[in-house]
Amino acid sequence: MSVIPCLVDRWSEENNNIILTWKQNERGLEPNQHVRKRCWSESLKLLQKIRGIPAATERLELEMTVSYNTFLFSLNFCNASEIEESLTNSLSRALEACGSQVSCSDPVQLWEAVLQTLGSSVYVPCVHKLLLIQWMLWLMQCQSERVLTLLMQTNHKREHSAPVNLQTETRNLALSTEEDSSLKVAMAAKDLKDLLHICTVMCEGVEQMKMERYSEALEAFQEAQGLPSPRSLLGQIHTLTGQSFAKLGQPHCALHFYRKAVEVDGACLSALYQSALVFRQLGNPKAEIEALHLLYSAVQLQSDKSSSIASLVSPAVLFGGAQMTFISRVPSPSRILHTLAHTCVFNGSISDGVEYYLDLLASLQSDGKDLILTGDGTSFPRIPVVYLEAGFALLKAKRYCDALVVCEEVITSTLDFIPERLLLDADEKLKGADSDVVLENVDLVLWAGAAHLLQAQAHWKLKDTKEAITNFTRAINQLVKVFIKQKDWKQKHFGNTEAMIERMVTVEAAKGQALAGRGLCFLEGGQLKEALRDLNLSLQMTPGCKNTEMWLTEVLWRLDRREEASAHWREVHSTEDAPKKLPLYLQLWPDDTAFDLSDLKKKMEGYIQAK
Amino acid sequence: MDAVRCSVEYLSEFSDCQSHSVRVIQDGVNLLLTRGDREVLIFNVLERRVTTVMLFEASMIHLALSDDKHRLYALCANGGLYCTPLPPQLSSSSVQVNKSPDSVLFTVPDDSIVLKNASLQAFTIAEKILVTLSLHKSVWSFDLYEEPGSRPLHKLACFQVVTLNTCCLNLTDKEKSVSSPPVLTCIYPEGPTSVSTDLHPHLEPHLFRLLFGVDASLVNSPVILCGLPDGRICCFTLLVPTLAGPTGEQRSPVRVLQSLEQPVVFIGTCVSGEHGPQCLVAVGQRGKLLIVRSKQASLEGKKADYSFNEHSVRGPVLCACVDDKRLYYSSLSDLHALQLTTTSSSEATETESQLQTLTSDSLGVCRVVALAGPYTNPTGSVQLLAVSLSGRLLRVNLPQGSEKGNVPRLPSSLAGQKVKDLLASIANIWERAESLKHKLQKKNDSLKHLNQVIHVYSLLLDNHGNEKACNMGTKHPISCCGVARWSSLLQRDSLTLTCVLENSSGCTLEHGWTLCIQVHPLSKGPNMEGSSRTYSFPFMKLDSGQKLDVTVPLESTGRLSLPVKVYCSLVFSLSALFSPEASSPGVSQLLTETGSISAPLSTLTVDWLDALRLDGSFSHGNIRHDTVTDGIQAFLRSRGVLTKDSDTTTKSAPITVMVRVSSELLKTKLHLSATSSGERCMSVLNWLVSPEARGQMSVQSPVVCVYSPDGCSVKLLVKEVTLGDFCSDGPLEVLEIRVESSSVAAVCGLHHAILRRLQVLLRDSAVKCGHTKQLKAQSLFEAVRHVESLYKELQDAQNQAALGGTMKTNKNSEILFRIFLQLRANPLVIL
Repeated sequence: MSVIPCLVDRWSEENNNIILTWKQNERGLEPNQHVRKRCWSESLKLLQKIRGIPAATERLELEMTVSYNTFLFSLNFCNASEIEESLTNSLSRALEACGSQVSCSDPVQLWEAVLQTLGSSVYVPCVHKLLLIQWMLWLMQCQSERVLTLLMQTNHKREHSAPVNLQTETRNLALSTEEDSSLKVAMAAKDLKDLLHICTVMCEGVEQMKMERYSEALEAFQEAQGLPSPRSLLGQIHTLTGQSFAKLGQPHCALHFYRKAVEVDGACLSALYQSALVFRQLGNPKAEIEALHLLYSAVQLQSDKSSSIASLVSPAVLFGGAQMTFISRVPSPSRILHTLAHTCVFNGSISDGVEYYLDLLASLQSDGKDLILTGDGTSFPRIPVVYLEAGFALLKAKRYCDALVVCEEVITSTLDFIPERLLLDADEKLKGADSDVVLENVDLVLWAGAAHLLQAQAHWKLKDTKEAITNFTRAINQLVKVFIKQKDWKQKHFGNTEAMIERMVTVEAAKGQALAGRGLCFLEGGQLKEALRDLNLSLQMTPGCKNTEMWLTEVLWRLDRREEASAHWREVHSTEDAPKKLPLYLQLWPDDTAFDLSDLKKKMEGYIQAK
Repeated sequence: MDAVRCSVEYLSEFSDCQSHSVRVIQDGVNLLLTRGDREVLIFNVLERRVTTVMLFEASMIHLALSDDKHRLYALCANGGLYCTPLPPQLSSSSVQVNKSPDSVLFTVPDDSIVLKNASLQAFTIAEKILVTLSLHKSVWSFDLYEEPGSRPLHKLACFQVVTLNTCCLNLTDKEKSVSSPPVLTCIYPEGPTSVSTDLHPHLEPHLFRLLFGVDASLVNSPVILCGLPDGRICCFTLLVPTLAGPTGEQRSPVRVLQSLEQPVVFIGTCVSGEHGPQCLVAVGQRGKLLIVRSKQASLEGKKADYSFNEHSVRGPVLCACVDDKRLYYSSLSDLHALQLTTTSSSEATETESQLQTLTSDSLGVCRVVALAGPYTNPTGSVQLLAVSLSGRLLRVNLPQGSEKGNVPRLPSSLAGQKVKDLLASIANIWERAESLKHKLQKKNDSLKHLNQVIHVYSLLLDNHGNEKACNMGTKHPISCCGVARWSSLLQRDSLTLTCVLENSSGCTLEHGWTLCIQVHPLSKGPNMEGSSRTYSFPFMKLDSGQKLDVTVPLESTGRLSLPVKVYCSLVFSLSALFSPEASSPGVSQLLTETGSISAPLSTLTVDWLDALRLDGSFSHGNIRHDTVTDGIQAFLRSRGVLTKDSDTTTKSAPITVMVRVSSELLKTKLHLSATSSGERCMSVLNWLVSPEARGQMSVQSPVVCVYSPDGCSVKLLVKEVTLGDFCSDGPLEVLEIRVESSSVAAVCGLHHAILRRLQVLLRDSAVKCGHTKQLKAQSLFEAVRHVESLYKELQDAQNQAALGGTMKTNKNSEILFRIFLQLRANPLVIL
């Protein structure tokens, strides 16, 4: 008879020692994953020892506490179903100890039996600890209905007049969480309950968001904000609130919450990313660039330090995989860098943009240091496009030689894929894969042509007119390979896809630019007839291009065809440049005028007045 | 085509291997080797010994080294992917001589599992990314993990491919059962910036770009190629997997390059050019060989393209490897080297036609299940490391002479080595030849045996078909006849059947034959259900002209129940065709159910007449005692004391039954030559009692006293009577066969036996009698009336039995017995 109390004492001490080791580790500066593993295995061994002898009421408290600790430690090492199995075992033993018959293994019924048998005994705190574990497991598996049933069973004393709702149930949950000082636990039941509470509410909100019921989601998140929670979690709650506001069409409220999120948790990347998206929506490129830049630096900082969080139960574990990716969704560093670079160049901050592009190219070339992934379902642009954009940025930044090198890469890599002729039949209906192949071919031609075009412009800037003309000609030769059977494809919409039309418009624009560029070269070299031909052709391709019109005016003037020149002059001033959706690398710039137009202006105004 | 000679060195010998999970990786002087069991052996090639044994928890499926060769990844059959650091002297790759001569055993602990997933099939590591392939619910999924990463590994991405229904591939069951694992290969573009990793193959940039696209080529990203068991070769760019599709949407990164339509065994690159290997090579399990080459852009500006060329080599291909010119592959019987060429644009058509007839050189090494290499050693020769099915680790030194044209003279110092190598290869070839010879011999023996068996069966079946046509006189080539005899063993007499199998045919019955004798009692007594028994006598050999005597007991469960039908048959068991250590377990598996064929030989009937004992040496002690009282009576009888009971039995009049047969009929049927009536009677009696002794008379009087099997004395009597009023033509000579005994059972049994004999006799020789007798209506009428009156009595008795119940059973049986006797005592005459 004297052996049993002795065993209980010894085991209690063993448990307390394990917890002591853990607490020391937790408090330490460098929390160690190995300590956790050791604690887990020791705790598991202790539990196995305790389970080695029949269950009895005098050891019930000890056994349940050790089970609770073991389950907490095992979170990182076992999957939920394994823990659940062990939990069911613990519950069955508790019932056995009280002399009840264990009839089933269904957890819901088992809990009903446990709560009925032990619900009013001295073991309630221990039972409630295990109940928290069960809650945690079901939360991890996103089984909110079962959580609701479980909590309702616990709250059975109350009368249910209001409709059953997980939020109210959680709020009203009364668990006895007093601690027994003689038996230490790895995490206080109250802390775990608070964490579970907030995570459950967040989970509800996320589910609502997924079903696009944003106002309901907002309610949940607002409730979550009122609860005590760790910083990182609060930051995520604010971000989710902001996202709901953004979806409800209130971007400024959204921005407010994103800012709050960043204030609470500096490492809340998703808030930064979401605010960048909102800034783009609002048309504020400066703020967008700033947000993206912050995001990029934060991402890099985070990837440098290993992110192993030592806390016993982290929200990441509780939310499970899919939920967590939804909550803290941030594109990959490469994708952020590209967006940043693109936005910079597109909005005129060329020098920054060039640096970002060069960083991006370096990261692509550095023996594949990181995998280019996009976590959020968007896709990375095609690599030749990135190269062309970089080339374009370099060109604009007046780093012509670098631009030449970058474009050369695109040319060599696409060389093998350029067909002799690419005849497109607009009437032909292509399905899925076939149409993809055609589009891919058009793309390849377009990229090669655009690369030649950029090279020609670089040569032109380097005052190497001869090379420039050669490259413009190459660009034209590449681009005219794409050919549509029907002449009136622009007016009539055949069975073609949007994508095809977009491609064709882009190809035409590139052709127009190449012809205009060559015309300009001829103009400078004094080959006026050739210049006239090219500029006219260019205008046919892309009517309404102001620069081309003006160059044409100049050519006509020099050819002494003053009437026509003045007519064009007037046309230039009556028309507006139609905004076209072109890729970044084909954007037109005001500074593309190679020579002083003021001279032409003076001449023309003089002539018109003289008339 | 000359056979290419190569020399083979045995490096070491281990135990047998699992053919589909043997892996060899060479890392400097060390060799990582697994034979599909729980061990990974680290073998030092210089010292020729195992330095380290790594013991895992489950049997090995696949092995790979990390990029920096510091860590070993191993996929085990329990679904766990283990990552364990290599022992330090290995990873430094320096030639450190380990002081201790014993190999170190190193148990890989449980916590080195980095990934546990029972559906994992294969993995590879490239660019610090671990790529795993798992099959779950008919979806192949590629998962990418960071390497070396935290545990659990941080998952980077996941792509999925749906499996094909493999039934269209006509996989045979054997191929399905030995399911080949998928093959993952990582291919790098060859270039100035590419890291010089010797763990993964490279491909020249031009073909790489054509095959895998602009993006992979611009980023210099390696491409993961995967040969699935359904024959498809999928690929995806490792570093830029998720790129925008043409319309801006995200598209699946995994693309199917080609399908071999058979499980893929190997993917690699071959044929070095100035920019790196110029061909992509894939080999299927059944010998399909896919070679992908680039076609140069022609002058007209037509876009460059690549070509898929399919060839076939003799399968099954177990494993393969490539060097810069040749593909080495192992079928089970030999190791082949196949020279691969590249097609240049000018001679495209010629070479293509040439390639259709790819020929491979046999290297003369058999049963290779895993290959590593090839490696060029410092002396310049190319070596392959191979593991044979029997667990031998071989080093194959490949001949170099083929392109040099002439064999350079060997310095004398190397000559000894060369001779040694040649001897070793001779030994290897001899071993192979011996095994082939042995196999051939076995096959021939089996065929010969089978041929003989079929011959014997055709003989037997001919017999059977002609049985009716043959009369008794001609003998079958293989026959079986039996005689019932009384034998005395351990003071007990028992009736046994001696069967003689006589092989008078020209051929020998080899081993595998069994003589089966089935004894089937015809009477259905109360305890006779399923009492038929089968005796099998397998024999090793029965030459032409030899006889085989076997003796089987006729009693079952201590009782003799006559008559008994005996079926003799010859059975051949097909499994005897295959030697016990049969090389193909599949065939003997097929034989488990219906592994034998049988042919009937003959059918015999043993009746009461056969079981009679003529001699009087029938001691009372040996009579069967059914009950205790019987035993006591027998005892008393033997002491000469007559009890009252025995008095009554002896006093009761013997029961008599008789059969009448026209003597003329019997005379013609039995071919009796005797003229006097006495002789005739004796011959008939002889025919009945001892049919086998036809010539000499064992019975010398028309009356014979014999003992029935149950020990009662029986009198058999034959006499000739003349019936005057029977036939209208005049008096009719009739033979009267009479059975007298006090035992009812003996009388009934003998009567039945006699009738059966007569029946057989009359049926067998259905010769028409010359004329039908004119019977007198008067006698016929009387006979019919007599029978009718008996029938009426019988009906009355039946009615009474139905009404009377149990009380009157004694009386009823008396009545029935009386009717029986009257019926038997005055029988009709058989004409």
